[in-house]
Amino acid sequence: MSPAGRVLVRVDDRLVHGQVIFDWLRYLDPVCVMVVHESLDDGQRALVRSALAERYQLWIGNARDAAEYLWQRSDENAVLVLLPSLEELQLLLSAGYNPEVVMLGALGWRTGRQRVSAQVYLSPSEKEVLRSLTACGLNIIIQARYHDLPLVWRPDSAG
Amino acid sequence: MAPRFRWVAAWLALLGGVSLAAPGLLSHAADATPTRPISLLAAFLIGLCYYLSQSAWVAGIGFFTLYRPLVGGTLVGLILGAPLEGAQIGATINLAYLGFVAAGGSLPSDISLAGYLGTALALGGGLDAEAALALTVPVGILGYLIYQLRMSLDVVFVRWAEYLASQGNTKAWVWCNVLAPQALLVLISLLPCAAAVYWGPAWLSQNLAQIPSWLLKGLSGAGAVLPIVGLAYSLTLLWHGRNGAWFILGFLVAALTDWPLLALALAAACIAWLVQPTAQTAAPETDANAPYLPRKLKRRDLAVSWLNWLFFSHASYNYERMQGLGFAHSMIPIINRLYPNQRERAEALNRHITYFNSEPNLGAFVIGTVAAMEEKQACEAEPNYNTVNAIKIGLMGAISGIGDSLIQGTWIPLALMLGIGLTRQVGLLGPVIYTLMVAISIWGVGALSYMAGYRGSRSLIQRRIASGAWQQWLASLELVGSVMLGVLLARAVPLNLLVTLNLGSQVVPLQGILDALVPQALVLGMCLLCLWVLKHRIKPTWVVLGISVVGFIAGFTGVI
Repeated sequence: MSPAGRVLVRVDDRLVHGQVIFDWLRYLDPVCVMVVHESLDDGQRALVRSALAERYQLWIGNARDAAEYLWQRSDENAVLVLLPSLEELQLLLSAGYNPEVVMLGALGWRTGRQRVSAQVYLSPSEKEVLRSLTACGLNIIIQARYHDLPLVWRPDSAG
Repeated sequence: MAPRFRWVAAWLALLGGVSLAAPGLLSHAADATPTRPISLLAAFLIGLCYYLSQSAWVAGIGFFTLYRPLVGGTLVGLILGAPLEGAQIGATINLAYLGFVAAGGSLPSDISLAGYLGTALALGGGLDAEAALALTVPVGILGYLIYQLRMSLDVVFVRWAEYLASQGNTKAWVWCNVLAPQALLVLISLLPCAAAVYWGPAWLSQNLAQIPSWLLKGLSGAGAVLPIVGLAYSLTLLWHGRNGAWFILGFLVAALTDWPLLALALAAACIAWLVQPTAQTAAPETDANAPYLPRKLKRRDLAVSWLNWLFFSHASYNYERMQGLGFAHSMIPIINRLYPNQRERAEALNRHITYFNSEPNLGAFVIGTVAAMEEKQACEAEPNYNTVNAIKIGLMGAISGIGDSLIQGTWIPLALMLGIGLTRQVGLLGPVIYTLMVAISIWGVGALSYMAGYRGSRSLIQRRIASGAWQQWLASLELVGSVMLGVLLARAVPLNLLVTLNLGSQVVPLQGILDALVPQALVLGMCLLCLWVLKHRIKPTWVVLGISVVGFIAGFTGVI
């Protein structure tokens, strides 16, 4: 059994920004946007709320509550789940939510990270996390915008 | 083969396949439009305009002005001695790219090359505007290669910047962030564009007589319907709440009356003013809780910092740090003022060459905020810079979302609609008014955002944004945009059916029957059909290809 409706899980360190607003909200047309990020302060929460049009419900919280929310919902409406990092993704999965596919949208350069695609940079430890997740059957795709063809992340090809 | 280039191949194969499949239809073009020879100097100047459209020298407005086919087409027309024709062709091409949005360093197509080369092909090669537009689709996709090449090669300058940062060298920053990357951009943009403009139209004009007329008619048909996809794509962003009704109302008023476009735009603005709820009371001008800060920065430092950002935020745009080097460049006047010794300068530069990517105009708020934070920390006995990077990362995404929605998603398309409509109606005033609208708004938003970030403290601006006032501005702009999309569809996309019906002794044109119901009903129907398809998660590329095939067949069979 899986949660109802279409759910897009996207890892993106900028959370709600142009690519999300112009592409993923436009094509997924979700009722609710979930931002799984426990440490957002009030000001950042207000900014995220403002970046989204008022017609979208916004849910902000931790991974455990997000997993519970996703399992309990019964409607068929689409949901967009945004996570700022692979750590949050791991927490979401370990809380019991198991999507079939996770999209890596944008993970920008940081010290220790190496280029995987134009928009995604990963550190060796993050690649190791992805290896373990793909070994458990999770499909990882890299796709910044809707018009891009999704690249399937594979442990052997991604180094 | 890269996915985008499969589309180019598919496009060419489609045209070639149709050519081979219908040899019996071959006949030579008889009604080619007069051509203008393009000299080497003219080709160079057009290539220069193409380079400038993405360069660091146009005060932050190049991407919103020279990059758009409306303005690019006008410049090509000026260079070739036909400014009005150039503006009209540019307006036609721009209609198809009305919904163009660059987000997070990713473009769907290079609409600048499409505009410059498309207009040159029309004026220098003797194609009509619609046929030239059909050819710009693969041109735009090929142009994306230049963008990707630039974004990849510019990473080299990051290594240079790292070296300069380690030395605390702020004087040479202009070389690694601006001069060298711009020299590279000249090589990879100006030269290929100038070459294509010099040889492409010349080849076309020499061989136009050999091109079968049905192929040209087919291309014209495809080009005539492509703007409908562009408008429908823009509509997908606006199609919520009551905006659909405003769109259809705008269409009907424009189709049934001959009111001037500017009057319709003003009427739409008045409606938005009347129907939108009044914005909430503005937040106080100063933050009462903000601690007193001794000021070390001078007015000139802040002005130069903002100008550095305005001009050079994308000068060495690259996939690794995005605007990181531009961010550091904007911090240089601040660093030079606050940190007299080289070690502190090196540390500050290293803090600011990290990954940064935001909408550049509203994003100036982040630059102002960080300038204030640097100043505050520099005044502390034990400065703590750990929060600076966290603030940058925390702000850049959401500010980018707000800025992109407001500027790229709503304001620019709205200004373009007005510019394109005015170009159709009164000629060169269209691109001039569009450029002025964009320049004033972009500079105003940028300067106000920078100073709001510097003066207001982060909590104040967050309260201002969170007050919801900007959502009401956005809703008002969306209402006006919906009306103007309808107006533009009715006025700027003329599509006439040439089919006649034999009703006994009478021959009745089908277009006349449709016009008796609702003028331009066919265009409205096609636009709503495209909208429906796009809303059902069909990729725009498929819709463009599908509607082009329909237009091509309708064109060469003489239906339109």
